[in-house]
Amino acid sequence: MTGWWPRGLARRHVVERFASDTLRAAGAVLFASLIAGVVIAALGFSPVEAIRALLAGSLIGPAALTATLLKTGPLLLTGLAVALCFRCGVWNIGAEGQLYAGALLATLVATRWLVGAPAVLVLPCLILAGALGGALWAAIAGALRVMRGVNEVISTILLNFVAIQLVSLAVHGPLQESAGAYPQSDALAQAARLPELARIHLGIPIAVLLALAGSFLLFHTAAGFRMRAVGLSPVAARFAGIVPERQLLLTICLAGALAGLAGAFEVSGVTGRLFESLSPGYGYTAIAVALLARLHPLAVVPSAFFFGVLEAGGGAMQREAGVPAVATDLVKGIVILLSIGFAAGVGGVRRVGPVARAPTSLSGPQADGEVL
Amino acid sequence: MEALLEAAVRLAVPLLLAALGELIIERSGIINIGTEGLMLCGAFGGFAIAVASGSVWLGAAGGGAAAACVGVLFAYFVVVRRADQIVVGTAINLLALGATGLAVRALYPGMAPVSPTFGTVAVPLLSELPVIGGALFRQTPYVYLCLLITPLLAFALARSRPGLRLRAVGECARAADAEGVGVSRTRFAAVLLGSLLAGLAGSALSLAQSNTFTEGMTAGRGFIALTIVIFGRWRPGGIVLAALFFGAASALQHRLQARGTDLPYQLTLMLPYVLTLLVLALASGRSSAPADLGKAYRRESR
Amino acid sequence: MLGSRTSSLFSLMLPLVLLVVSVSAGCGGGSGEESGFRVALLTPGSIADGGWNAGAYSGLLRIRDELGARVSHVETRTPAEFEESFRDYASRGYDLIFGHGFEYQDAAARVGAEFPSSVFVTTSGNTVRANVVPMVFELEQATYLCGVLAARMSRSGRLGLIGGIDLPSIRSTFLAFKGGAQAARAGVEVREVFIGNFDDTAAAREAALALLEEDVDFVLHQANEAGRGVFQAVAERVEKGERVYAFGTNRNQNDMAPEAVIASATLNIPAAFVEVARRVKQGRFEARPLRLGMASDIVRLEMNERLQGRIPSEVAEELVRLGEQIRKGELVVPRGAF
Repeated sequence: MTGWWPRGLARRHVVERFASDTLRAAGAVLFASLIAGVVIAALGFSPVEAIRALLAGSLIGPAALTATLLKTGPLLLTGLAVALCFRCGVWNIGAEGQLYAGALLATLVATRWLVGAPAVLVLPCLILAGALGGALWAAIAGALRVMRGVNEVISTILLNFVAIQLVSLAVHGPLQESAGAYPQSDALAQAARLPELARIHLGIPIAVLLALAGSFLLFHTAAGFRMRAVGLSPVAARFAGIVPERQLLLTICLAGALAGLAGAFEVSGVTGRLFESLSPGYGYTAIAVALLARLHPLAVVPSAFFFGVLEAGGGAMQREAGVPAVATDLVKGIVILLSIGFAAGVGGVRRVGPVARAPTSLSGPQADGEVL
Repeated sequence: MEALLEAAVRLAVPLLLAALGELIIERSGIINIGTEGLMLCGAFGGFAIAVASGSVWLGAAGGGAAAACVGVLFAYFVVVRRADQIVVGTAINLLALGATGLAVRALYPGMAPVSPTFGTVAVPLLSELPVIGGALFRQTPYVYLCLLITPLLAFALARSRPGLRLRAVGECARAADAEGVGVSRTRFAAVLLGSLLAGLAGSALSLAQSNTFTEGMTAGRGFIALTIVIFGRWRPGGIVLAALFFGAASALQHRLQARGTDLPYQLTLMLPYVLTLLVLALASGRSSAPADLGKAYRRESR
Repeated sequence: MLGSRTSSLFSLMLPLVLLVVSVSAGCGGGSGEESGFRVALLTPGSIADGGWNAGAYSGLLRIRDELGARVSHVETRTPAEFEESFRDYASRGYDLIFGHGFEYQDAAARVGAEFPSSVFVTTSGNTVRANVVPMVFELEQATYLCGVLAARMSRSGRLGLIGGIDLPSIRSTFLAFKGGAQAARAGVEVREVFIGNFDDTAAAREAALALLEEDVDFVLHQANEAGRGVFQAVAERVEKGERVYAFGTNRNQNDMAPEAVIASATLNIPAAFVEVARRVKQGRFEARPLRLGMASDIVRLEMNERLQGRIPSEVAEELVRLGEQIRKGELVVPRGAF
């Protein structure tokens, strides 16, 4: 397992890599379930009952599947955003903030600017506004990185907090419902609601299509190659005539747009209003989603589905077996650690030196010291 | 004015302890965004042990120890397995929120009890000083702990052998390794020590700033600690000032509201983050951060 | 290392599928078809908060014990989960589903339209449908009396209020407190501080200290769990010999700081839940808002016996008289329009 770096570029290794990645992801999931079961048992709940409730409440029957898919949607988009960034060496922890920014701008368009407009006008505008809001929010971190050398890890975390407070400010102030009673926006008009079939809103198939598009972009286009090249080695990329700064900005804005879309879809497809606690931390769970998918855009689909099962099943576990909802946070944490454990320091999980740092610290392709 | 200063110092203390812990970790070249989770573990561990033993001192020690245990987990993944630091930090935050939430419900069904607390201890004579007397010398033991360890840490980083090793590892792990400094060992120790401080910071929240544990009671302070390190330019002195600044901002926010100013609280809650972003934008972030910050170190195997 | 096996991206789901198959085989038809009265509760936060949500949960447990109902609870964390949980319970034939907060109204109305045989009750709110009603607690009546008590006893003429998140239900109790204070004593000043959440006890304590520094000598909190920080701050001042007091809210919190909490504006959430459940069970449900206040003994002002001696007798008598007027409907206390 040496010489990892050309592997991402060589097509014939891809199949082999998928096989091992899939097994590792499955291992992580199984072991995490095992540990969670032990913890649940230690707390005096029945683990068999809990897991039965979790699976029944997320997979068996149309209502359960719908609940799972509704959670899968935002996790898929934010997971894609994170996977795209991490793969291209951009450490964007800001999907949560970008989701809120997208939701905010989408709500602004739907409840303030285009009130009473027909669906053909308001829906595309709302979706674009969501993407734009997320992209702009991400662009702040991107610009700080490119222009001032500010580490995007820090700036995206900070921007998350700012975005959440901005939404709070908005629903207490300018975007508050006309009735003026509750801290929530006006309800979106029917024309501004995404079409849905059995409560599965249009955003979910769009998210799946975007995963396909993301995979195509990343692995089958010159633009994707440039982005990945920067992630692999900014120095080498520069030698090849690629401007890492431009790629970085492009990547983070694309990711922001994806996360922003998630926010717009939540408002337009699920809640119908903007609230303060719109996201239960989708943008952070997205990191786990991307990791479990080993940063592959297509694999984000099943990975997001798995976490969707966890989110929806967590509620069922509480309803049926009385296990507190915070247990799902524990499981998420364990899944992340285990998927790292199963990754054995290979490929996507390793940290690539951030772009545009002093080049001396980037010492070209390195070999993996250890093999598990 | 004196009351404001007193409050500023009081509020700065958990931030300062956590930020100093983060400083030690970052100086070794590791970025730890799990401070929030470590603090939460410290707050819970401190609370649970203080309730069980009836001793605040045991509680504080337990808080530090609880966070250090989680720190071992962090260090294992980050230093030994060389996993991505951001990702492990995120996992620690989720893990801590879930584990403390489950534990508090399992141990204290219904409601968490009241724990013993640290009272204020006035230092004779010094506490009578004008203006700063009350702020610095009529406080809980946590403030005195800060007064003790901040200069100690500043000295250790600047002059002592372990401090120099720590910085060397953070600035250029490869060179440090070549010089015979154990990179992994140094980083492991830094994470342990830093987690211990974060845990103490958490216990200050449950044992000095309040008298109980509530789920998520750290309320983002771990992330503010992260910004304080940047704001303070990775130097103990700067970090003290930054922590005091945020402490004062928070003290002022409550007092402005108490004086009848109708200021949306969201503005003051986002203030530390916006200010840090501005500072980052205006001053280049590159110069003072440890050069190898965030990079896993691997020896060349060939 | 692993060789070139046939692979599929989606085999990530393989273990899940296996588990589902084994589990669904094991549990057969499921447990959804039982008969009997069934009640569910959705809370917006942890039931270990010793206040708002804990009260609802103990109400649910009393419904189980007193009415022999089968009960279930879920903590919902986002608006998306409101509808999902309502729908899940309703589709499994739950007779009565409580949503413990204003934020559940929209979801209750939507799901309620699809499941006419289930009753949805939201705690506070104003949405009424054939099977959806709000249960509005008139805690304002008790906080009004707190305002009267504080204004009569205050030496500084300054009173303080500490809120968690700025919500209409909280603003409304504050409005009543101010109304009571100003009715009792013209020119009394009331200061407010919001801390921005319901968990940060340290911030609540600091907010209380800030108010106390401004010579406020009575503090009423509406910060749920974080309110414990308020008691701590006031108790510290009491220990130093100052005459300052706090009010408990929602539950009887008099014993949480026996020397500092002079009275609690209590809300017997459990009794209200049992009463509503009993009506639904007996088929006496009516589609109109339930207003529960001092008249139904759900809302009360409970004095701390330890500190009762501090209250001048004429003030105590006034409180009793005003309470009587409120109960009879002769005195209508101010409340927010929501």
